[in-house]
Amino acid sequence: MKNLTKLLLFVLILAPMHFAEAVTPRKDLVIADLGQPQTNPWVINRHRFQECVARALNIKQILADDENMESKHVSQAESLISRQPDALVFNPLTSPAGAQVARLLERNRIPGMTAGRVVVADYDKEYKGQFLIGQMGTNLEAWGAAMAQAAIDAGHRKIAMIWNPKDVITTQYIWAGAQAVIDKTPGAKVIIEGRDRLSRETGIKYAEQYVARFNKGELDAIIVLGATAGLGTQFALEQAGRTEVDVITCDIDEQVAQHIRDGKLSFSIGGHWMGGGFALIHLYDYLHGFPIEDTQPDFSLIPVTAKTVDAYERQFLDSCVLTPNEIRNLSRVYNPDADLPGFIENFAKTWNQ
Amino acid sequence: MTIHEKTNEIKSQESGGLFQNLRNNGLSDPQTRTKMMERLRDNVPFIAITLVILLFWGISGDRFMSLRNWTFIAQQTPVLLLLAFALLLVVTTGSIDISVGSNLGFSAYMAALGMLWFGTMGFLVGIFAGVLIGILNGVIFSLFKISSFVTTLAMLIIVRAVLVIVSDGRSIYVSDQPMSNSNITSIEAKWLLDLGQFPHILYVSIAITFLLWVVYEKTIFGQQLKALGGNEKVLRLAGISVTWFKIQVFAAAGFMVGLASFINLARSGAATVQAGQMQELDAIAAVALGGTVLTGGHGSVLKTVVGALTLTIVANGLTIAGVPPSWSMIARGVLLIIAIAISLNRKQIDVVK
Amino acid sequence: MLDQQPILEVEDVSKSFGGVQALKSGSFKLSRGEVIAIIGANGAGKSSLIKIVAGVYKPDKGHITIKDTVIDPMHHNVGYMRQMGIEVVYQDLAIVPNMTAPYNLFLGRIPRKFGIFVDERKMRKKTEEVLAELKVKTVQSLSRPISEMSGGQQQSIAIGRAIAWGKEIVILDEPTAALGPNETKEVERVVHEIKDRGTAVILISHNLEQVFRLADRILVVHHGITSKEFQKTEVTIDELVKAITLG
Repeated sequence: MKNLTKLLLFVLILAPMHFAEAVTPRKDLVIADLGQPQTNPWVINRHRFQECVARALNIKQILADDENMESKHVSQAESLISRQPDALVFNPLTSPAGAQVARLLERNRIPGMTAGRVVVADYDKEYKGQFLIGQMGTNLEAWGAAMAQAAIDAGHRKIAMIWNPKDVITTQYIWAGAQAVIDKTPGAKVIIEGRDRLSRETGIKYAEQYVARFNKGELDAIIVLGATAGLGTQFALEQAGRTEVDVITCDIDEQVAQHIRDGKLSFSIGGHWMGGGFALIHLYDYLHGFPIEDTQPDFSLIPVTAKTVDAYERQFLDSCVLTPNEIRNLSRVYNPDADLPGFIENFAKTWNQ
Repeated sequence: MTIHEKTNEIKSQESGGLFQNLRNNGLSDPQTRTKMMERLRDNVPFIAITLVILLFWGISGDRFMSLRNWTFIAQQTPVLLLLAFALLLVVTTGSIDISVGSNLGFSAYMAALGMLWFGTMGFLVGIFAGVLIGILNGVIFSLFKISSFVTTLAMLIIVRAVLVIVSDGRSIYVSDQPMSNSNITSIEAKWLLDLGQFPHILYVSIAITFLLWVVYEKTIFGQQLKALGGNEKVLRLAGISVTWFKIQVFAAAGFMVGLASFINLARSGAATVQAGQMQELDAIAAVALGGTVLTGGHGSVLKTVVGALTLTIVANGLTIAGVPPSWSMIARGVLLIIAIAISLNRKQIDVVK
Repeated sequence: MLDQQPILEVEDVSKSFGGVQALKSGSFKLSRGEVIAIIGANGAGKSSLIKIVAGVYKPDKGHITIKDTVIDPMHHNVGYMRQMGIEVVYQDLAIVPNMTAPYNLFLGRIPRKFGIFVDERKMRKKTEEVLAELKVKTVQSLSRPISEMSGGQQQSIAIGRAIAWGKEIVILDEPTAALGPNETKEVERVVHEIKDRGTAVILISHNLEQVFRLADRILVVHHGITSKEFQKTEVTIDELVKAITLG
C-alpha cells in the first residue's frame, strides 16, 4: 500500500518528464561486498563511499573481508553467497581468486561486479559467463604513469621506488605504467628498487638505506606505492635532513593532504576507491532490468598537488563526495538519461578543471 | 634370569668402555678438535657479524661504513632487538610466541591512544596493553594447556583484528607541533620523536639491554627460565609451580613487546594498523642467529643483540650494495641456515621436529 | 647403630586404577640408617608402593606412619610427604641437565638476595660442603651445566639434595640403571655415606648384586603383595630370584 502511494507520487512528480521509463525503485535489495581488511586508507574510503551509495539507493550491504589471503577470498565469497544476496561486489585479491568467485557467481546465478581489480584483462573478449556483469576497474597503468609523470614533470631523473613484492600482480601493473613513462624519458632511470610488505616502518627502513647509499644529488625522488609507506618515507627523509629528495605517492588521507599542503609531499593520486560505489550503482540498475552499457569502465585517478589539495580534501575526505540526489541521478532507475560510464570516465578530467 | 643377563650386559659394557678410553687417550687429536669446534660454535654470532660487516665494507666502502649509515643501523635495530628479547624469554623456556608482531601494532596504538586521552604518561597504557596480551597468551597456554605455537598463532590473528576494530584503520600521528588540521588524529610530543632518534634511541636500548641482562643472568626468574627449558618435569617434581611461572614468562615477554611498541611509536612517528606485521619472523630469526636453540634451556642476551644487529646490517648492506630485493631475501634466508647449522651441536640432538 | 624405633611404617596399603588392582597389600617398616631394597618383577606393584610413599598416589586403604605421625589421607600428596622428610630421586628425572650443580642441589629452594637475585656465593659454598661431605670429587667447574659431569656425579648431587635439606627418608628409584660401572660405584659409595649419617633409604633396583651390596633388608613384591622379607645375611641370590618369580 505504502509502495503504491510512493509509486503514485513518483508518477505524479517525475512521470511528466520520463513517463516511458518509469521503474519502481526496490527497497529490499541486499548486496554483499567482499574486499580486503581495513588496514589502509583506500579500503576504508571505498567502504565509506560505497555506504553512501547504498544509503542513497536503499541497499542493505553485507560486508566481509579476505584477510589478504587468496584461500580466504574464495571461502568468504562462498559464505556470502550462501546468504543469498541479490548481488555481490568484490575486489579480487588476485586474478585467480577472482576467477573462482566469478565461477561461484555463475553456478549460483547471482550477479556480481568487481570493484578495483579485475578478473580478466578484457571483459568483452575474455569473459564467457553472464553473471559477472562487468568489471569496475581502475586504470592501473594510467595510475602508475601519472605517478611517474609527476616525478618527471618536477624535473626528477634519478628515481628510487618502494613497492609491493612482485607477486602482488595488480601493483605490478601499476609499476609497469610508471616504468613505461620513465623508460621513454631521456636521462630518467630507476636507480634502486625496494620491494617489501608495505607499512610505515618499511617506508622508513628503505628511505634510510637509500639515503645511506646515495649522497646528495645522486637521488632525486622516491616513488612509493601507498600513503602509509609513503608517509614513513617522507618522515625518514625529514629526520635524516634529506628533504631535497621528493616523495611521490598515492592514496590521500588527511595526513597526506596536510603534507601536500605543507609542501612536504609534492604529489599523490587517489579516488580509485570510488569504484566500489560505482559498481553498486551498476548492479542496482542491472537488478532493475537495465542492461549493462559499459562492461568495463575504467576509473582514472585524481592527481592531487598543493594547488588542488584543499578542494580534494573538501570534497573527498570525510564526506560522501556526491549527495544522495547526485548518486540517484547516476542510476537509470531514477534518471533514464543517466550516463554512469561517461561520468566515471570524465570524473577525473572534470574534477581537475 | 633376566637379572643375571642385565648384570652381564653391564659387565660387557665395562670392557667396551675401557677400550674406548684407551683409544681416546691414544689419540688426543679428536678431543682437541671437538674443543675447538665447541669454541667456534659458541662464537658463531660474533664471527658472523664480523664477516658480514667486512663483506659489506668491501663491497660498498664508505657508503656502508659511514657514520650516517651506522646511525641508521642504530635506529633500525632497537625495535627488532626488543622483540627478539621478548622471544628470547619465551624461547629459553622451550616455548614460542609468534604474536609479538600483532602485539607490537596493538600496544603502539594503545600507547598513542593513551597519550591522546591522558597526556604524556598515557604511553603507559601501551606498555600495559603489551603485558595484558602477554598474560592472555600465558593463561591460555599454561592453564588450558594449548601449545604455545597454537595459542600465539590465534592471538596473532585476534590481536591484529582488535587493532583494526579499535583504530578503524586510522593512524594516530606523533608531531612536534600542534596540528592545524583537526581531521588528523595526532599527539603533540616532541620528546617522543626525539626519543626515536639517534642517539637517544641507542641509550634507551642499551639501558633496556643491561636490565634484561641482569634479569636473565642474575635473578631467580632468569634462572628459572633456563631450568624450565631444561626439564619441566623435574621442576614439577621439585614442587615448583610451573603453571604460574609460565604465565609470568609470557607477561614478561609482553612487557618487552610493550617497550618495543613504544620505541616503534617514537621511531616511526605514528601508530598504524600495519605496524609489526611479519615482525615476529625477523625476531625469531634474530634470536636464532644469536645462537639460542628454539628447544630451550640456553640463551644469551648479548648474542641476541648480535643476532638482531646482524639481521639489520645484512638487510641494510644488501640494499646499499644494490642487490635486487628477491635476491636479498634469499641471502638472508641462507645466512640464517648457515649460522644455525654451524652453531648446533648435532651430536647432542637425536630428534628434530 | 640401627635405631629400633621405625621412622616409616607402611601398613597394608592398596591401590587400584579402574578395575586393575596395582597393589593389593603393601606393608613394611624402615628405621634410621637402614637401607631397604624393594624388588619384584615388572608390574608386581613396586612402583605403586613407592609412589604411595612419595605421595604421588593416595592409597585406597591402609595407612602410613612417619615418625609416629599417621598421615591423614586428606594431606596425602607430594608436597606434604616432602615436608614430612621424604625425598625421591627418580632415575631420569633427578636433575635439570642444562643447569649447574649448585642449581640442582638447591632445586626449588634457591636462596635469594634482595628478594629477586640469586645468591650464587651461598649456593656454591653449600654445594662444596655437600660434595665434600659425600666425598664426591669434581673436576668440572661448578658454573658449568651439570650435564658436563659424569652420570655418577650427577646422581650423587641428586642424592646430595636429599641430605642437604635434612631429609630423613630417601627413595632411590633405579639410581644406577643408566650408569656405567665406575659411576655406579660412585653412587653406591654415596648411598653408604648417607646411610652412615642416619638417613633411611628405600632402594628400588633390578640389579641384585647391587641390592646385596647396599641393602640391609630386602622386600619382595609379588602380584601386588609384599610377600617376603629377608635379612641380607640370611638369603642367597637364587632364593631371591625364586621369590621374585614364584612369590
